Amino acid sequence: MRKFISYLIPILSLIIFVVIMQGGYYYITSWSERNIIPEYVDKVKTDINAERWDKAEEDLHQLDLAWKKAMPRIQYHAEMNAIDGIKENLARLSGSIEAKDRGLALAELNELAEHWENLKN
Amino acid sequence: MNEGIVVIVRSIIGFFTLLIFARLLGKQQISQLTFFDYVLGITIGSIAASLSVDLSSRAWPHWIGLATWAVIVLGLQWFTLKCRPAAKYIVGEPTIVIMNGQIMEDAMRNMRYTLGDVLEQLRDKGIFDLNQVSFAVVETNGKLSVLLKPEFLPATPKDLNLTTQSSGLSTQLIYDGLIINENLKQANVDRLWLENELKNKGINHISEVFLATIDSSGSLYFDTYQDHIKQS
Repeated sequence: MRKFISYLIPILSLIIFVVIMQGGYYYITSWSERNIIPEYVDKVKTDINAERWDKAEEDLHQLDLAWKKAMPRIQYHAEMNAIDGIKENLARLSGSIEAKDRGLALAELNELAEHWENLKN
Repeated sequence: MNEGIVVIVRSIIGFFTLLIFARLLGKQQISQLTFFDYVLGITIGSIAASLSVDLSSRAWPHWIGLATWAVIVLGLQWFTLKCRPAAKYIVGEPTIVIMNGQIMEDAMRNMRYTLGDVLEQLRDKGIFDLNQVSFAVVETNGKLSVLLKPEFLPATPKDLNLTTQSSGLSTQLIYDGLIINENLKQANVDRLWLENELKNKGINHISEVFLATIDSSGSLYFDTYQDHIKQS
């Protein structure tokens, strides 16, 4: 029993470490309801293309909230640059929607989507 | 992203992963390590350090790198254990640098080992006269093993026809004021006997004892917390 426990502890520890490090990956790639970021990215994109700026601002707010919920779950998985990149995209997206700049808003949104995709690597 | 918390979590992962892998890789001490083992240790340590604080990259690739290095080392250890020619090829062989009192210049040149290195290591072993040396071998970890000529070897009890008693390994009975019951059983003694022995030595309570050991002949060694050292 003692020998079994002495083997079990390191094996269990290594499994927990893998789960902590890779848990974020499964969150990003899952299609569960908790992972609503891609959905909101699409919504904001549709709003910008239709130039519904008020709706775009509303959906961006929801996207921002979803991102703030997702961040603690992926922070042990993701690299800091990708997380900072998404934060910057959100800030610039907010400004471009406020300025009603369709081109800039779409560029930021696409970059944000790309950063999100890169988190899967 | 709370960088502090991420670093703490990653450091815990790195620390314990390193601990587990180090235990897995064996009990070699630093002094027994070959140059390659030494470099290997530094590399694995460096990967663990990156895993811990390099937030610009993900923890996972570092962890995989750490695991890969550890597995390769483990694989090589197993391979060298099972295959002697491979062990010779991978770990190398001890090299004789002094044979029958003669310095082997060619062997030394092949190893890029200078006479100064040999003399330094001999002095380190307390040998200042080359005339005393019969054989000297550079081990794979770079240490020099020396066999002195018979006339310079220290006398042993056997040489003097003295009878000796084997003391065997001692067993700890008390550590830090606490009795180790498992070891009491193993040494075939009981608590009462131990307390009586201590009482005979003027110790009234076990908590006064820092360490008590018993050897295979049943003789008890103990050290109390109170040290009576005479000031000169």
